[in-house]
Amino acid sequence: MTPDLYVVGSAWRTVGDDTDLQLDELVFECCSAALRDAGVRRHQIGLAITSSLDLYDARSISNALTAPAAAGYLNDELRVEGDASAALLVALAGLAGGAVDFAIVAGIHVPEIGGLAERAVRRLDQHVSSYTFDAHLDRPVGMTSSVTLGLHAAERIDAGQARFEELAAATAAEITRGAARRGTRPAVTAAEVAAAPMAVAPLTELMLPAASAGVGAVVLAAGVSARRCPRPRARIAGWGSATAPATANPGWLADPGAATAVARTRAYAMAGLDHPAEQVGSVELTDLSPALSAEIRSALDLDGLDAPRINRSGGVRANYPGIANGLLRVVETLDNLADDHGGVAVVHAADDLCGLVSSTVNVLVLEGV
Amino acid sequence: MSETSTAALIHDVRWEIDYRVRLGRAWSRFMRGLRDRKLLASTCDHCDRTYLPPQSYCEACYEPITRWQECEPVGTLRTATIVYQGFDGGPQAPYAVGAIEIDGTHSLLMHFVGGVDLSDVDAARKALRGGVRVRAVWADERTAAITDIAHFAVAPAQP
Amino acid sequence: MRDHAVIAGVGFTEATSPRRQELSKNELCRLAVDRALEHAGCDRRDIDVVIIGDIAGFEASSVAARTIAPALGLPPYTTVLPICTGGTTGGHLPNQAAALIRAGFAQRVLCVAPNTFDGPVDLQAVINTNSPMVMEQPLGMGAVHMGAFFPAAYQERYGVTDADFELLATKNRENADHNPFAHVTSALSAEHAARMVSTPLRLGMVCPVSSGAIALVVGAESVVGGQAGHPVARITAAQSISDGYLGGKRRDFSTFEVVEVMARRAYREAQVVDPRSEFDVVELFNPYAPMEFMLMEAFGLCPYGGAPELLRKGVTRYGGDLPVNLSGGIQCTNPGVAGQISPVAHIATQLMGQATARQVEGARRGLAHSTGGTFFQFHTATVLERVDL
Ligand SMILES: [Zn+2]
Repeated sequence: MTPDLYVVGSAWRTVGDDTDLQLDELVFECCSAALRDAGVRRHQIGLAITSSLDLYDARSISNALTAPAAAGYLNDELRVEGDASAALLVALAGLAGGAVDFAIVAGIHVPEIGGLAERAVRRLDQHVSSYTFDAHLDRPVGMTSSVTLGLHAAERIDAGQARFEELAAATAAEITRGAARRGTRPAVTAAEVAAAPMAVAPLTELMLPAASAGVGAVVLAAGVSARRCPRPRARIAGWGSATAPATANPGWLADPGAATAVARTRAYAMAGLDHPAEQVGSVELTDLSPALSAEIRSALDLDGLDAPRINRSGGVRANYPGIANGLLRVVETLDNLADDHGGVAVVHAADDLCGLVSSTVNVLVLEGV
Repeated sequence: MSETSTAALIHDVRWEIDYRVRLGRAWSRFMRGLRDRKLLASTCDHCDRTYLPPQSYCEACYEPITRWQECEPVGTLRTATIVYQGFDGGPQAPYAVGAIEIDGTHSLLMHFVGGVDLSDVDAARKALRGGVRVRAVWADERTAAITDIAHFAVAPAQP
Repeated sequence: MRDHAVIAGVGFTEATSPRRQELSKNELCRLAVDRALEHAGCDRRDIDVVIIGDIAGFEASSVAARTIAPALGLPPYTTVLPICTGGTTGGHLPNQAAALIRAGFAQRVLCVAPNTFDGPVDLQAVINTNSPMVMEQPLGMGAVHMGAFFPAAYQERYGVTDADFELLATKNRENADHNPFAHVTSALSAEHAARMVSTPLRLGMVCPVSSGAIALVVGAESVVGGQAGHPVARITAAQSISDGYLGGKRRDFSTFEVVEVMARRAYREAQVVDPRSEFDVVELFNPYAPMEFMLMEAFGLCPYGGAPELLRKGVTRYGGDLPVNLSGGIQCTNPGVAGQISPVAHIATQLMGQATARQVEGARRGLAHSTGGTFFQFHTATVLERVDL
């Protein structure tokens, strides 16, 4: 039997240089907004899961600071060191297993580096990524998440499977679309994308995810507890999870969509999606480079999906809040469902700690309520 | 083959990241208060708990906090430990650290406790028992940091 | 399919000091995993999810799960879940495995608790960064000093003597003599043990820095129960709790206040009515020996202030009717995340009738605890029961 689980409230806050809040104050603000949106009080929450990394937060055991702010005070609490979608999965397990009726998930990515401009955030994220790679084989030779994206894009272009001009055009369209929603980059042309500073050849800076700072929260609930909420947003009809191969395994380069396909198979089976391209109204992808988009789409069995249904928010090249990205993709999907007056939507989220290497992918199927 | 050739190799691995940490609303105001020799607490609008160090939200009832007040820098020692073996980068041992309940608050402020001879462990432990009254001694040079209070001094016994 | 979660396999590696450790972190974890899989009678190809704990900043790689998981020989695309909650990380691993299994997400979950402390050149310097930055760290508060606050207040409130603490620490070292995976035993010199670190803690009451890894196979009872060839340990309660951030939130250092709250929840979940008589064996996280007294009380195993008397009467020793920390506890062996999971691992082997240390005959139900974070902000509790299949 598929458990009956819902998103009953959400909040998203993109954080800029103008904030005067300490990390925990930001988390409190966002989680309170999500609880208000859900019509749920803190004391109803039985489980508080956060997604964060000490090395962004500049504190050892940084969840010590953020857990009480995320409704975790005197609560069952856990911090996952991966994309916020993994934290969401853990919370869903708590609900599905019957341990709690309400859970909150917070994704926190506000690097403590003084300024939060895109380049500064990316610089720290890449620095931390280098510290996440193996210290003896990969780190000394300069491996970071962006480097894996550059390696992949170069291989695809060399093999004639992608063209630089097409990547630039697709990127410009996404950034421009995102500028009208939660995007952190202003609208651009394909020529501007192509002429942007080269980051990891062949990818220009604008082809990389739009590194940003943000905090997101969703409130989840089970069964009747959810349906009695004032504004249930979506039913979580299916989910699946899989982790990509490590550096030495050629699979991450040859078939970076493989983990997505494994996660998708399970999520769609649970949700009863058998003709996804016809059934899905929108999909939010974590295609970390434009050279990956087609492979991820295929892995999700969404080759036939109309272009306007893909990354309507602009996707990760419009706004990419690092480890909190999975929650932003969920929040954007809730908006897509509202715009479509219901239907079925797919969320694809993957962590970027080591780019394509050993990335954990989560696929969620949401149904509008 | 020599014995060392099969022993595990050791690599030096070092992390180096510079951070600039934002103190936010509550702690910025608190630290600036210390610079001006003021001990500031905040009180939850909803449940009346008074926090020192102050905070801008109450994790217990999960409401924002907007009420602030200045406290007399006097309180009661709840417990203390005397550190005879410190750590690299820390203060010179021995030193005493106390958990202090400032009068009128519902939390504990951690700080150094001074004015006690620490060379005799037993006598010092007796002098730093829970219930002892203490008062802040301000540092001469203040930089909006927790150490703007040099330490809390054990108050002379009341007659 | 939803089912009860049981621990079917436990894998320990021999504890030593990081200086003497010959194996790399990946090799140690692999060894622990191999032993756990063999113990459970489980094929590594059948693992659905691997949960790996770490403590960022203590290790050469941030998110150690990323570099450890590929070394375990698991099937391609096995989901890797990295967890870090500081000192309760290890306690969370079996609890989260239970959540995934009870939810029907997974049937076989591998929990890997690595040797966290092998990396840092100066571990104490790293641990000391755990006290709240800006507010409490500048005040000379390192880990031991945070740890000393509690027994200092406890002593004062209940009139417990230094001699009671020393008796407790000696009991645990004697227990460790019978645990082949223990690091410090009664071979520790009396002179060394008596050295004052931070009042009232003496060196013999403070845990060593150990190296070692522990792995568990946790599975759905109907799937893995029959494969193990020995009794398994059902997880009947899995709880955690978070206090406020700053040490000052603890309010009363003479007790672990939030443990009382968590214990009530755990006992409700596991239907424990009288913990004193219903537990056959207990392992409580005690990096500082006196914590054992305070935790026994917060867990309702005796009245507040009553724990030292139970020790003096022999109740909590081997042969007593409520043996506590027969493994020697964390006071004798602390390899980081592996130390945090060890109470669960030791209780599980007791309930299987295959105790790592001295076996409590007929043990059917046990309690395991872990704690950590700044001023012990976080705690976990796991209640386990023997299942014969
Ligand atoms: Zn309040």
